[in-house]
Amino acid sequence: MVDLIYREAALRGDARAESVLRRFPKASVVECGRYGEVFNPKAQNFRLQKKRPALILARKHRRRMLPAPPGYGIGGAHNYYFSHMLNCVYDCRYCFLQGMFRSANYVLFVNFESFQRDMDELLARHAGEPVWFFSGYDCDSLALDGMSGFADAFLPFFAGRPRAFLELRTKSTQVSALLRRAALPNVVTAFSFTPEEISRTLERGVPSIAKRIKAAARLQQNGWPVALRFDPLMDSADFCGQYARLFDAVFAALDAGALHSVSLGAFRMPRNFYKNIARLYPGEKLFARAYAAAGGVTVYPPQTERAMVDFCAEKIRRHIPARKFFHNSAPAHAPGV
Amino acid sequence: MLALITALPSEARPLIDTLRLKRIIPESPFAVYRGDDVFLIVSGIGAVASACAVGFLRGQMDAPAAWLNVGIAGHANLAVGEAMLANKITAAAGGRNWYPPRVFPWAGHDGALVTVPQPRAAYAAGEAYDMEAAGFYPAACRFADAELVQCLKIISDGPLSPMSGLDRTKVAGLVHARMETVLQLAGILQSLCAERVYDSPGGALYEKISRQARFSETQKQQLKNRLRRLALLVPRADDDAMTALAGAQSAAQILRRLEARLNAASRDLGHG
Ligand code: SF4
Repeated sequence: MVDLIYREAALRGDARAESVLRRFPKASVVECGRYGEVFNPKAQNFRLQKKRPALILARKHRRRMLPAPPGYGIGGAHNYYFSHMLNCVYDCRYCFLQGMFRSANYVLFVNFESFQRDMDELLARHAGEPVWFFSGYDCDSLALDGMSGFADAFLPFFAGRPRAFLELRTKSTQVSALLRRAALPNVVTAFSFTPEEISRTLERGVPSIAKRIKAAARLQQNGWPVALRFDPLMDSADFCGQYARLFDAVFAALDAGALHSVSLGAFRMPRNFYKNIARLYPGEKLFARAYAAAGGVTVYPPQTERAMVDFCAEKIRRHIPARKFFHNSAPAHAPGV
Repeated sequence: MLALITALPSEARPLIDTLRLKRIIPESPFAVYRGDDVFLIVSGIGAVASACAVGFLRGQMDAPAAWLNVGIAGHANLAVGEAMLANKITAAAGGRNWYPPRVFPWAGHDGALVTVPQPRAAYAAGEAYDMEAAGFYPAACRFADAELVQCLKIISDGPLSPMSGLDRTKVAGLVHARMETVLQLAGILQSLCAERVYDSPGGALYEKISRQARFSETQKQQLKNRLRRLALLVPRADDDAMTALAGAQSAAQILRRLEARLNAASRDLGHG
């Protein structure tokens, strides 16, 4: 899958970096200084790189835990997000990462222990209170878990800290690391869905809805908290039909009463990211249609958005109580993860 | 379009012959050759000369290009005659690094390339040495996406084969022997470049409408953009646009009508 790996020189001999390298014995390994030398240069083209992304093994030195924006979260008072990776193995045309980064290369931050130290500091700062940590902000939490070993490193950490809550957000079916362990009540796996027709056109490489529902059901059957994210809601001529069919399929296969939470949010994207992506894909219908602007964010026209949200909210509330339902409006969030 | 750049005439000769390039611009600071969809420039030795040649050649081309530097290099381990694609370029003077992104499969050798200001006879393990890449690469990245800028080096010398044994015929022979690799890489870069030209030129409808009123340069871009979007949203966009524009006089009015048409077409596409 990866035939070119950049490794920060400081990671020579690092056990986690070495174990990732061992998975790709045929890859060329190129030593670099800080990962930004490879990831940030201006002249790069995200769309071309997406054809064959390289892997960058790096350490994250600063800003590992960031406060989640207002309007983000699922009921907790203290919400932080973090990314152990940048970029994603999938290729969703609406994904804001394409507009935010110049490079489509995967960056894996291997200093998991530093992230965990930061989490402990935040738990100490909010003594006695629950604290939520959202992963998968700049990546899919689990899609490359087999390579990154993220779940294996973080599940034991959360097992010992019942006040700390972890959300794993994913469009993948990579749940084996969870299924190997006893369920943790404070680790929620949130599966993102769009209707089959939208997924087929706009989400390249993403497993089918049926497979994702199956993965979610297996987690539920093994006692793991599962959540659903209908985010972003994507407009289409048959919007109501497509979403009604999706809800029917999801709620028929999962135990609605056991769901941790369900959230939704209409497609939205910071305006500058939107412009970057529309430039990358001038032949894409998604970026040909008219949008509205709201405070630096590209959104559907308000009446369209309201109709979409109201329709879905009404359908979802038939299955779950209001306290488990959240309308996510935070603009900068990776919409689909 | 492909822009080839070599430092030496003897590196260029096999490329000129194989690609049947013809010399153009006789009175110029650099020897420049042209063929179907290919330019070649001989820069002379050194990073500064290479960077200048890139700028000069870009001025001669009327379309965006992929850039490929082909030349000889020294290497401690690779055998003479092997080809190596640079995955890292370091300027020995200053220590700056560049990492040419590779978005295509590559079964051949790849490795680090150090650009030195003077020929050197000491070879560190795992590195190739040339005198141009650190000038060529950043200069070419000003005119093309980094993915379209690559350096392919043919190993000409090493600890057991000193540089002193090289002459023009040997250099040309080394490049000639790796022509298949050069052409393969050139082909990959050319197709990536063709893919990269994402902006539509506008088409006949654009030409027609842009003559109907006085459009500023910005308005011409807006017109092109709106027509492109309309073509993606509605069937028979040309007829659709002409109907929407019936009676429109000024550039501003035409643009407003198109915007309104796009809004309506977007509503038809979705939830309302
Ligand atoms: S939306 Fe999510 S799953 Fe899709 S490419 Fe982006 S990060 Fe990956």
